[in-house]
Amino acid sequence: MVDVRILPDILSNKIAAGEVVERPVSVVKELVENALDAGATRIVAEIEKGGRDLIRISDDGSGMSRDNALLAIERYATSKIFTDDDLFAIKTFGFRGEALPSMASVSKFTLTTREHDSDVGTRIQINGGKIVDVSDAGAPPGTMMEVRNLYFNTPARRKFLKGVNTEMGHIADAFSGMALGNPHVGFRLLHNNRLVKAFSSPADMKTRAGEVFGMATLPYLCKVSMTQGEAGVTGYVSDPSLTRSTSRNLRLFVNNRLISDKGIVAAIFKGYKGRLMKGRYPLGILFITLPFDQVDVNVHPSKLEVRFSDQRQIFALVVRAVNHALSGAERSGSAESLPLEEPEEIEEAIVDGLPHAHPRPVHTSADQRKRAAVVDRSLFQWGKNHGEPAKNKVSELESDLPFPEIERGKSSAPEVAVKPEGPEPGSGKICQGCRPDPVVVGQVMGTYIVLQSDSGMILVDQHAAHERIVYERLKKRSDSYRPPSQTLAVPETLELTYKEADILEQIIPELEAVGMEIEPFGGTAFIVKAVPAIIDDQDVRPLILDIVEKLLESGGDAMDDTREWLDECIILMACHTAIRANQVLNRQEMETLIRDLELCENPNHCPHGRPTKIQWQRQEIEKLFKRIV
Amino acid sequence: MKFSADRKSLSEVLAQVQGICGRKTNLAITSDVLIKVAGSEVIIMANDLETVFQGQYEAEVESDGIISINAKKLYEIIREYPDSLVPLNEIENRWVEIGKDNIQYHIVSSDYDNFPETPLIEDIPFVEIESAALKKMVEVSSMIGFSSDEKRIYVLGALLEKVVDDKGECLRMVSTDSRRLNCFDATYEGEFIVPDENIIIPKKGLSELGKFLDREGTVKIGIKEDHFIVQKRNETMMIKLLEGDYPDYRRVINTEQMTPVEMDRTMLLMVMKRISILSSDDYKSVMFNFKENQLVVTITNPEIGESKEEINIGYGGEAFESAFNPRYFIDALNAVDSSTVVLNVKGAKNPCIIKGLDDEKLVCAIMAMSV
Repeated sequence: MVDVRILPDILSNKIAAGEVVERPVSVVKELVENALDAGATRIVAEIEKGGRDLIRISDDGSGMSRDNALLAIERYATSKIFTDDDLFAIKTFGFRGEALPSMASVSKFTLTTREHDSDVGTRIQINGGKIVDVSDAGAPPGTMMEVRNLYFNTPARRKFLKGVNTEMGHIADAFSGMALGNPHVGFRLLHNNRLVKAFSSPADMKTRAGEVFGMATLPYLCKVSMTQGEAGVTGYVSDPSLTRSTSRNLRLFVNNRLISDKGIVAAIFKGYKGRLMKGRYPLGILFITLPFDQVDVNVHPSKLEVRFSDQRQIFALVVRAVNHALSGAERSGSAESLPLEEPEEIEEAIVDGLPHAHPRPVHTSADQRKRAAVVDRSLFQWGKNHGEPAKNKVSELESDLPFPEIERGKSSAPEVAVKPEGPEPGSGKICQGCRPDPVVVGQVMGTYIVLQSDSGMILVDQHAAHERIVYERLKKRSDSYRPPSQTLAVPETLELTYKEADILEQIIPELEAVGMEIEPFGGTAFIVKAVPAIIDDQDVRPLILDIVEKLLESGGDAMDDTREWLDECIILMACHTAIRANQVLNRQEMETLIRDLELCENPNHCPHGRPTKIQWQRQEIEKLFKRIV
Repeated sequence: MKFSADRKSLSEVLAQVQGICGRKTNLAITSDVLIKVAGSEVIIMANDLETVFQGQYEAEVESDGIISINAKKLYEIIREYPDSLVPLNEIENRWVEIGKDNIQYHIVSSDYDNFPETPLIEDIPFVEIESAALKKMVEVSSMIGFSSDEKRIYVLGALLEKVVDDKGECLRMVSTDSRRLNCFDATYEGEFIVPDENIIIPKKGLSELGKFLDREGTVKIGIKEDHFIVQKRNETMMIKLLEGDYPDYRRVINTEQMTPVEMDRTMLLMVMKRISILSSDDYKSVMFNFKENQLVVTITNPEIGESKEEINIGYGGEAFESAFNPRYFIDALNAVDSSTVVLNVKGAKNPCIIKGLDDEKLVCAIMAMSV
């Protein structure tokens, strides 16, 4: 028999390194988080060859004394928790005390640190887990960690590293993520001495989001803000018109910790329901804050995942917060669409088109302010951001630009400037109803309705638009009554696994509320006695399994999932009832369609998520004709 | 191969097989009919791998041979052919010449070797049944349809059973889609030998069988391995059976604990037709309010309006309210032959079981809805 032995420290650290230091990006993440925990306001990361040759993170944080620095490189040494209770209420990023010794065991590691009130700093050099040198060193206050030749003593690991660009991509991604989560801190990332990313400090969340996602995305970000009990969700999500083909640009933070969580992503999608095309992902940052004792961060070695004590509540909150943010933004956008003008006025507007052309742009900016005001109001209703509307007001007053339309998307022109120009009575006031309504110009290709709004031209897909109208009407109806259910002559039996059975048992009352009657049938078997009448021609078995599976995977709401199935039927019904493409409409039909569309909750997308309308700003058209450059 | 056949009878046969050959398929040969000429006889076959038709007809044969030719085009050509006698002639390379003199078609035919094999009909213990009874049985069963993505065997097919009770032996066919269930009995002559497995006949094949059966005379039916076979004089139809379990339907049609209510069939049918005017895809339920000697039927559709009808009935049981889909009542009432129907009811959520007065042949069970 082989003897059982306790592993030497160096070996056990190497084993831990396998989990904690999976690849260069893990080093960057651990070290940057340490810097953040140390209260840094500026963090610089220098990388060489994708982290293979060098990872150097310097900060201006609190720094460490020599004794502390020596302790820090011991395993399970940390300044972040002390007692059992701390472990279940972790406020800092790190806590396990594994990172430094793990890194040090698989690299040539140098730690240089100086406390602010100390005259001299400390430098510790470690080579493959063995301390080579400890000496005094001159250094700026703060800490600088250097990880050279990562995995130099574990060639197998080194062999598994991907190309420089891949590893660097991961690093840049994680770095941006942490920058998003900590807008008050300045970040700089250098690769091979070239500046890759720079995030100024201090910035607010939106500016930082712009820096990470690109400034052009700023006007498309909708503010999310909602609290329920002690849990809160804040952040920004992109307008459904701005999407990407991967979910990489959805950043989730739980108590400022960057995490990945399929459930939350699913919740965000649910919040977008009916607004996204299949296979498209929105951009966004969401901060979930909740009491430290309601989330367990100690479930993943590199702390990429967390566990919530009440997953369903968080799920539901995210769905509502995202949905509310998007419909708030849409509602304010659709202020441009109140009842249509009378046909006589339409003729006039078209005839007068040219003379009016000049004042219009000014008017546009007024409208945009109006829109902004509406956004603010909905935020105000939710009682969260008293500060923001006020700030906007200030910027409004300050920027009295002569050509406000250049500042599109921002509210800029003072109200007074608008008043004389407005062709409609009451224009310039911050209220709904002062915006001129889009005017139906006609129909092209028997499919698209051309509208003229005060700021440009809009094309509406008549089928998609009508689909949305019919869908919302049917939906409103089906929401207002319990759907009738059809008793089955042959009750369906379901044989489930233990896990599935447990979930199904819990959701039986919720399913009953939507017309699905299920009874336990002993063990893990169930029988379905009645199904919602609207889907009574479908096999319910895959339907229920699907719901259970979804719940297993992401948590969430059984009633919602069932409703979603019913929804699909409604969508199908709407699709069949809606007017088709290639159907010539007369003016009255078109006007009614546009008016009904604007009364919808989500007028911008058909129930499948396709857009109902596309808009061209006057400016864009003028650009196309080279009237302006 | 060369022969001439009577245009009218040939066109009738071809019309009958259009359902079998007209299905969308990636196996092109199943859209063909196989024409086999031997002696003074022409044999015509259609086979979609599930339902097989075979018929033998007299013809003026000049030479023997076999062709496999597109059923739809052949039917259309022969239907519109002006003379009473149509000549068909295989010339070369599987080209078939139809017509003569100043009207001529040249049609490509397929390699008949690829035509699906026909099951052998030998030594089958046939029993004899009235064609009209079998036709009604088949019609009542295929009345309950199925959606295109249906996978439940008991919805895709109808059950055929031998029932032995104090009144003697009979054949029973049961059909359901879980929302309603029809059950039809018919007497037969001969010894019906039931296989061990359930006989589940696909409804697709049944609707073809419905067209095949006449309203008079008798036909022979039998089971051979996995086929249900129906033979009338010179023609045979074979339907491949489905394999699977069939649920216990007797529980559903059991009326022992129920209260029978007699009603005039036509009157109730008219009521149902009127009331269903206000139903729509998502409001398909009608409330049935049974009170002492009165039935009040109401429907409310918020989008259209509401309607109410009161009918005097002989009901002495406990008052209750239940919901049903009126469309199923219309179907059932249309299928019943007697002028008076009996509705068997029992409280809310229980099915309504409809039979003709003094007629136990047809039983229609309609499952309740709840609102």
